[in-house]
Amino acid sequence: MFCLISVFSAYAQAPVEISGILKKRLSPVKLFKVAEGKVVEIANTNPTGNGQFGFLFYPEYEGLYLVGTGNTGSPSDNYKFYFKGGDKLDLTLLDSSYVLNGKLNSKENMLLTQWHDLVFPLEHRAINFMKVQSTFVDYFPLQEEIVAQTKNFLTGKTTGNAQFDKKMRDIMTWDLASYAANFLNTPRTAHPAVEEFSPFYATLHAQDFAKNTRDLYTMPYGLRTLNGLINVNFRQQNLPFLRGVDGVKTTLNFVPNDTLKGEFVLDAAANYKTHTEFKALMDAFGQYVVTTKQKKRKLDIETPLLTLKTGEEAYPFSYPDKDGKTVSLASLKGKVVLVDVWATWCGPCRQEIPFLKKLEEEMKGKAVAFVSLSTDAVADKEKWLKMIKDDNLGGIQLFAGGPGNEFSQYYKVNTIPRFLVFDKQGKIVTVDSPRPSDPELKTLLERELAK
Amino acid sequence: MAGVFLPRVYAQAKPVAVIPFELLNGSIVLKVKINDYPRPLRLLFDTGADGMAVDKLLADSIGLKISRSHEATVVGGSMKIDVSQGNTITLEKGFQLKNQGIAIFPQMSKDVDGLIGNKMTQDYVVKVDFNRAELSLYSFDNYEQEKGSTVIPFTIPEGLFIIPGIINVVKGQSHRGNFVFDTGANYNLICFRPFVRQNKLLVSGFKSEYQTSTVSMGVNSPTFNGNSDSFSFANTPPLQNMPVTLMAGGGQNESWNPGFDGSIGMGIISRYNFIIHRKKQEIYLTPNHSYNYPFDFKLGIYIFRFNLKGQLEVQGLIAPETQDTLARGTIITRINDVDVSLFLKDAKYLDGLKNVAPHSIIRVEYLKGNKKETLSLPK
Repeated sequence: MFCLISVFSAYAQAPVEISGILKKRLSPVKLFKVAEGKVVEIANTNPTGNGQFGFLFYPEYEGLYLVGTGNTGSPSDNYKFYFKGGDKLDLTLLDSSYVLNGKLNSKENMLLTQWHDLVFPLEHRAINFMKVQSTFVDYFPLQEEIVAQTKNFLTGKTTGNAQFDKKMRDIMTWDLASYAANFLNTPRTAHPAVEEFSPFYATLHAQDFAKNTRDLYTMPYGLRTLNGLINVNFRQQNLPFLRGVDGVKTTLNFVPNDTLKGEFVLDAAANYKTHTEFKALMDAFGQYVVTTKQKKRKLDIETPLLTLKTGEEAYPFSYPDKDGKTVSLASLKGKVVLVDVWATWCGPCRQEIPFLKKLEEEMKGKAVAFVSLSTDAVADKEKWLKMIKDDNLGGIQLFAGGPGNEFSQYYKVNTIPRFLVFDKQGKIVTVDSPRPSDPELKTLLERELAK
Repeated sequence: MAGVFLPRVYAQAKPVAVIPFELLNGSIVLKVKINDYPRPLRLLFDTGADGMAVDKLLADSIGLKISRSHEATVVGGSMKIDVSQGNTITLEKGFQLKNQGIAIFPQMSKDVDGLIGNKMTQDYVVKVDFNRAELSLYSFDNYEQEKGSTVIPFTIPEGLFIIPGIINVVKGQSHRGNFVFDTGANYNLICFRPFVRQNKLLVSGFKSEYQTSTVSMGVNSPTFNGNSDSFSFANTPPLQNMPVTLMAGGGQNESWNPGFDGSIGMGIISRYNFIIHRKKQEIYLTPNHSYNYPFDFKLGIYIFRFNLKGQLEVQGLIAPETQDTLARGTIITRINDVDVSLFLKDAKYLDGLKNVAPHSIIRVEYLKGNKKETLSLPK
């Protein structure tokens, strides 16, 4: 016990010191830690006018951190460094790379930088895909060449830090896998067929990266890399990309470790919009949600979905219509209410409009209110009014006042179009109904009318 | 008696029609009239199409009567095509093709008024002479193969002329394929997606020089361009270091199966005067004056090639056209102070240009009207 505390306090007394210069468009520089295979921002700073920045922090663990101008979702513009208490790092952040400065950098970070220099051509093309034009025709031969060079990279290179030296091998394996998967999973102007994949892809098996939590949890973007590899393996094995529980089931076959299975179950759940879907998922795979953190995350996902369950009171919205007259959900009591959340700029939303018009025509005279709720920005209100007139849009046309409106927030409307159905008493039937182009919607509305 | 007939048997029959053509950006364009429509129309002589076609706007102006329509399937959807039958096409000098069907497409290329496909090869032996810029029609009876020409046998599945060929994208890797003889295509050789995929042509050492996209049979595909080690078709001698176009995947086209492996375009065809004898299923090729002209090449954003007059011209751009770019067809007179006519005389001049370091500034002298102007462009 005493020993542990003294180690801890030694760290506490020896902070990590990062100083650097940003030599690209000025934007905040961030420091990230790694938790459960994801990246978490722990500090950020606005560089001075000439690009200088710095961090002083007490490392929570000895291991990998990231410094860069990127974000937690994607590895672009963030660079890996290894920190233990007392380490110093001096670097220059360039447009899509970095260099070390001075003589105080640790051996670990000097080796990591040599590695980064070696694999930079791959990272540049695979990760920073917005900045460089690359397709498999140039990338595959380059990848084979660099992968071959990496075999001897560690020969004669040890830092004296046994923990790091062991970790370094993992970093190399994960980086190469990450580039390979990321390259295939990002937009390109041309795509290879599976039979054209270069030989390195045949060596990548998602299962090898999902055997234990230790390796994945400590690797920046570890879960993202695993997900990307599963995606590649899906294509190599010609597996269908399914929605819902079946899709999760196929994915879990690539994840031997049960705790990691839980991470995938929760990632799927986080995208669900209804409690019915959530419950079906947990009935099937809830046993993999095991760690305290996972259980807490499950609760965080479930709580808002519970308020959006069938039979729960609906959000009491109230918005102006095209003539400025306020229409509230309460004023529609006694009618089944279909709400279409849309915007004038949204192509898929517009595709549904003819079907919506047809449905409205077919259900004329029945107690159904067709509400179209525009999430167009306030600046685009005229566009909305013009489209109502030009396209002769029917039903009740309401203006929510921008994408951040309360209705969208309450029902977690992150993508549109989204259709919701409320019953005659103003209670939720579903917050993610079939679209008008799906005959199921009419069946659902008729069923509610009959109640 | 026999002695009287003998010379006639071996003499070439006279053509039933000799029609001058225009070369427009390397394509054969015929001037025709359709029915009583007064305006002469420019139609592309396209052996890669099995019939005649114009766009809707023109069809309405001519007043074509629609006889029938059918759904033509293209990858990613289907398209309704109207067909007008019983039309009369009058070629230059008054020769008429009667009772012709014309397909009506919603939209077509802006450069010409439409396509005159390979239909006339059903009724006549068709000879194209690039030296004279003439297309001649002969009756099938008594037609004799011209001396010294190379015989290329072909098959006709789906109304197009298919020729076997061998492509070595990389030295030592030979792939056999079946290619369309396509005078409507502006490149040397394109390999379609299924052939490229099955033979891994893009991922076995091919060096792409530039990427473009091409629309074929309604499908838009990304394409990669670079040199092939060699290509030969039927019994012609191999063409070395020939630029080739390879189709990559881009979503919808992965399920597209055109039924053949690619097409041989005007970059190769125009090096020969050719005769199509559809009844014998043979094409006869005789190398013309342009046979040894260098292949097209890329400098900066331009693709240059020698036209049949031996002039170097802008064939196309690999970047969007702007006000500042040279138009297609612009004649180039000197590059880096070397008169381009020297490129035709000695390969070392063009090789020297190709070996200039990437991104170096190249000086290009071109004709604007009758005036010479210069342009500096990064390689």
